[in-house]
This record gives sequence, structure tokens and C-alpha cells, in this order.
Amino acid sequence: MRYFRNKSVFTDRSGYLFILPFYALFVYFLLIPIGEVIYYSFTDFNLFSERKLVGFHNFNLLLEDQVFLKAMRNTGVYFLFTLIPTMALGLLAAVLLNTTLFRTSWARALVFMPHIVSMVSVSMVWMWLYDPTYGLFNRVLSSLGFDTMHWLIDPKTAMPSVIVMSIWKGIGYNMIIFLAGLQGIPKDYYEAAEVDGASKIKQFLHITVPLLAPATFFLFVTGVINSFNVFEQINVMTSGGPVNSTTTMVHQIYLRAFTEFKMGYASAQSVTLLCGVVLITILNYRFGGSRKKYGED
Amino acid sequence: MNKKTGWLLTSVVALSMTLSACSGSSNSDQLSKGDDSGNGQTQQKVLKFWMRGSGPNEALTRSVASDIAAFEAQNPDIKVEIDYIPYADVEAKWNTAFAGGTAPDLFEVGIINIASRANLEQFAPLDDFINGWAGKDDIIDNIYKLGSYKDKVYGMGYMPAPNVFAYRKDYFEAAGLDPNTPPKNWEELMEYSQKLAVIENGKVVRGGFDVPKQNGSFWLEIFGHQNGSAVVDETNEMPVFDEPAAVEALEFVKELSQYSIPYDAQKAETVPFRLGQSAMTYIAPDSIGEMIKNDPSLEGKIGVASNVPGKQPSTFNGLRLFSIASTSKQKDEAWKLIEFFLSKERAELRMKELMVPVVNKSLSDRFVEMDPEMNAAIMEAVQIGAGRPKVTWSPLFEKYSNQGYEEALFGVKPVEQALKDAVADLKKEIGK
Repeated sequence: MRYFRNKSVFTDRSGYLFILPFYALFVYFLLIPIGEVIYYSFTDFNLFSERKLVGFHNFNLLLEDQVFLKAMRNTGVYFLFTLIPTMALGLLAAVLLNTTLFRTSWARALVFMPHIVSMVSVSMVWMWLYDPTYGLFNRVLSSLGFDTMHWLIDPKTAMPSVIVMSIWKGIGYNMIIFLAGLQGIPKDYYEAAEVDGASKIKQFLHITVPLLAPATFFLFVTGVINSFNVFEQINVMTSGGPVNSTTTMVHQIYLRAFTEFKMGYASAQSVTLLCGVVLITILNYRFGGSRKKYGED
Repeated sequence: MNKKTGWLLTSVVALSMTLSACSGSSNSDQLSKGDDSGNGQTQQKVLKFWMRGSGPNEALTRSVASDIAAFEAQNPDIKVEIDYIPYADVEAKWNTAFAGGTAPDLFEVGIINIASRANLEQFAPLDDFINGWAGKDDIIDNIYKLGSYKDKVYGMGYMPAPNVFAYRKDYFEAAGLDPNTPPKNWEELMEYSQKLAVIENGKVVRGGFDVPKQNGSFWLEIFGHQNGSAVVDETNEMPVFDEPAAVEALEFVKELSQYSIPYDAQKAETVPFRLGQSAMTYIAPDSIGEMIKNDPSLEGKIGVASNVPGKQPSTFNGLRLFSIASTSKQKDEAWKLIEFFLSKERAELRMKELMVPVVNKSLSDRFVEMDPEMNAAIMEAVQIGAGRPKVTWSPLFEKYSNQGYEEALFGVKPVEQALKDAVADLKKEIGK
């Protein structure tokens, strides 16, 4: 209490009042719902009848739910095969767009454009691209003499198809953040390295990459969260099928909560998802070196 | 900015946000339109109506919209606001609406929705309205039964929605088959599928008989019933789609699938028959009408039969119904609209426009007279058809029957194992 009475904490109370609206909204729309979801995960809440506390029952059921376990695996696959290529291609695009040859606002706009289109619209368009009969991809394949494919109706190709679309959509956003990072790196470092005889690759590896660490960290953390929360494209393009080959954790949460009324169980799934995201973020904070400054060991 | 101004500004912002957050307007406020300032004009009541489907691009929704326009012209004090809910989102949208207190007054539903929603007391019983209705005796008796749950009517059927067996006569001719004789039994269905399928480089480029690979539990129901399986024992509320008759039916469907282009049954626009990419299918009659409307050259090229029987004749025969939300404050107006939909005049218009059967006894003969070949098949489909299971766990039935179906068709498990596992999982979830 002494601390709070300390004059220095509330020297200018109007400052706290200025940030109050944001924090009020944050608490009301984010913190309280998170607390509620955690509470619901220990109940049998089903939307329409009185809820009872059931302890860890929902979490025990999760361990036996083969579809949810598959959804966890699918989410992991989506996360791995979407995040890394999107970041790599985003970086590549940023490096190219940072060169004098491609440094035009048109080129930047072109790469960034998919990001600003709604995921549902993009998913609908890609569904047509993947259409077995009229889709562009199959037309290209058949014109090249290859067998056509049932992209979204084959358990082997459904998830890769969704992943390719997500990568295409995500490159622009990654490019913009990396480009901002690239443009913030002082030219002096490159000039000094050149004087010392460092090749372009060495300059990239020893100057560009380390100095992009904060941008990389930011994109990684937000990318992890986005990958774990993947839903719209799954729901629109495949509805989680075929044979649950594309269902993800959030898709399962949605189905359990809103088509089967099992809010308590869906909350337990949400808490599991939250723990996964928090764990990866903590690991990344611990080992990702986001706060590392250039020149530090 | 001095401190006082800062305080003042912050207080104003905080106060206005608090006020705007707390100033929820009630449903009735939002629903009431028109002048209520006491100047003599009547207040217009707004009736919210949710219909399943993809909107005005469907023939049925266009017909319902014209019914509503006529109703509004007759009842200027009532305005009907219609929203279309895609089939895939129906359950989610309804649940959210009921939980959030924003459910509409009137729903357009299927048989599969009646038991689960009535059990949750979300639909109002309609018995009192029906008893006081002059037109009640003109409705086919079975329609009341199909909309009932625990001896109360919760849904008023307005349009049977059977699936008939449809085939392309031109493809039959090209394959050397008689275009006026559809297959008569399962053996012939298999034989015809084989003859009609066009396979190039090991890939089916034109199907014989449509078999969906994804979300095809509907096919399991049709063929299961034809093979003598109940699929779901409604009396004891038990799933039985792992019984030998259902397993045998799905094995037959799986064999047929080698002559079909794979597709997702939930995406109606990808059904091969509709795209001219297969020769035979089960389809709703209004979809045939839509196909001919879009491509008039198909006139006379599509033949129909009620079904291709297995051990017994059967096909899917759904029913489209209207239900009133138990939370509606305008039940009388909602019922008035239902009565209007079911009136002989509107039913006759719908029948002619969509070529679909209606539930009015007085129109049955007229319907067959309109197109004896097609409509006799449709009426037979209505008589022999079975609807979706009426159980309180219908969304779970759909989920697990699809799971078993897909695992079997994609070869993840042998057919029998896939169905047994699906039934076991379903029983576990429903606590049986």
C-alpha cells in the first residue's frame, strides 16, 4: 500500500485517465472473457441450461477425442509449413523490393494486396482455382500433360492446398514489416563491411539478419498466433474435411461450441490452445533473442 | 493543455463511452418502425424470418420472396424481413441467435431440426394455432406427424422435398441404353454406371452415377433405407447405421464410387450431374427445373424415376417446415404468415412455378396432371421416401455418419469398421 501511496506513482493522474478507456475496453472485452472461458472449461455449460462445475472432466475427454488430437496435429502441420515459408518468402520479397531495380510503390502494392483482401473472399477465389473441372491449376496441369488433381477433395492434397493459399496471402504482410526493418538499418554498416571485403551473402547473414531480429520476432509471434487461430480458410474451403484431414483446433472449437452446444468442452479446447500459444511465445521470448542488440553476444 | 482541461476531456470521453455501452435498445425498439407519435398512423410490425439456403439465386427463395411481397400487400401493418442462412451455417447461426436473444420470429426448418430445437424449448408448439385454423383439414395428415415432437406440432410443413432418381437420356442413348428405361434395381444401377462412365487415363471424366466423397451421409441414408436398414432407430433414439444392412449398402455405394467424379455433397454447385458431368443421380426436382432453366437445350433430355430400389423402394423425402420461435413476441403475426404460405392460392402458384408437390390435399391430383411423367415420379418419391432422422442429437448424427462414410470411401478403414467406430463414437457422445 505504501507503494501506491507513493506520490511518484500518481504524480499526474490525468495520464492514467487518458489510458483508462483503452484499459477499460481491454479488461471488459479481453481479460474478462478469457477468465470466463477458463471458468467455463471446468463446467458443463451448453448455452441453454444451467451450468455445473465438472472439474477436469472436459480436459480428460480431450485426451480421448481422436478428432481433436488430429486437429492438434493438423494445426501443428499448418503452423510449420505456413509460418516458415511465409516469413522466408516475405523476407525475400522485402530484400528484392529494397533493391533499386524493384523499389517501386507499384511493386510493393502488388505484393501487399492479398493481405488486404478478406480471407473469406480469397478462399472463395482459390476454391475456384482448385476446382477439379474448371480450375486454373488443373487446366495448367492438363495443358502440360499431367494428370489433374482433386485438390480439396483428396485427404493427401487438401491441407497442402490450404497452406499454399495461406502462404500466398501472408507474404505481403511479412514483406512490409521486413521492408520497414531493412530500411531502418544504417547504410554505414554495409559500407564498412564492404571496405573490409565482406561478400553480399556475408553482409546479409551478419548484418541484415541480426538487425532484423526484432521484426523477425514480431512476425514470428504474430505468425504463431495466426497459425494457431487458423479458421476462415478451413471453414470455407474444406469444412475441415475430407476425413478431418484439414480440421484445426479453432475449427473444432467452433464446431463443438456453435453446432453441438458444448460450450464447456469447447472452452477446455480453447484453454488448451491458449496454453500452446503462450508456451511457444514464452519459449520464443526466452530463446528468440528479440531484445538482443547488435554487437551483443 | 492544462490539467483541468485534461480532466474534463477524459471525464467526458469516459462518460460517453459508458453511456453508449449501457444504452442497449430492446429488440422491440429495433423492430418497431413507422410513426408512433400518435398522429393516427398505425405502427408497422416487423417480422423477422430466417430461411435456409443461399438466397435469391435459388428458385425456391425467389418464390418465397414473392409470397412475402403478396402477404405484405395484403397486410400493410406487417413488414417481413427475410434473411438467408447457408445450410452449412444453420446450426451455428441459430445457436448464437438463441443464446444472444436475437432469434427471429419465424424459421424455415427441416425435419432434422424439429426434435433438437423442440427439446430445447426454442420452438413454440403450434397446436393452438392449428386448431383454430379453417384450412387445417386440407393439409395431408402425415405432414402434422412429420412436424411433431412428443405429441405436439412444432413445425408446419409447407413443401415436401423429395429426391428423385434423375438420368440423362442423351447419355443413355450414346451408351446404347434405352433412354426411356432407367435402371430397375441395384444390379442394373451398377451395370449402367459402368457403361455410362467415361474414363480417360484411369480418371473418371464423366461419371456414371454421382457418389459424393465428402459429406455424403445422405447417400448412406438413401441406400441404407433401400437395403432395409433403419439407419437410426427413432423409437429408442439409437443410431444403428452399423447394422449389416447399412454396411452392405455402403459397400455397394463405395463400389459405385469408382464410376463417379469425387465431389463434396455440401457444395451443391459442384455436383457433377448439375454440371453435365455425370449420367445419373438423386436430386431435388426443383434443381432439375433450375438446370433446364439455365440450359434450355436440356429440355427432354432428363428422365426421372422415383428411385432405383434395392431390397425395398426408398428415397429421401424431406419436408420444409415453418417454426415459430418460442421467444417471439409476434407469434400471431408469424402464424398469419404461415397460413398465407399454406393457402391454396399461394400453394398452387408455388406448385406451378417450382414444379414441386405441396401439402394441400386439394392440389394433389392437379400436380400429377401438370406433368404426368415427372410428377407421378415425384409423388411416388413422396410416398416411399424417408426423411432425416428425428432425434434430439441430429447435429451429432450428421457429424458421425459423415465420419463413417468418409473413412469408408477414402479407404481409411474397412466399411464395417468405419461404421462401427462411428456409431460407437456417437453412442459415447450421446451417453447411450
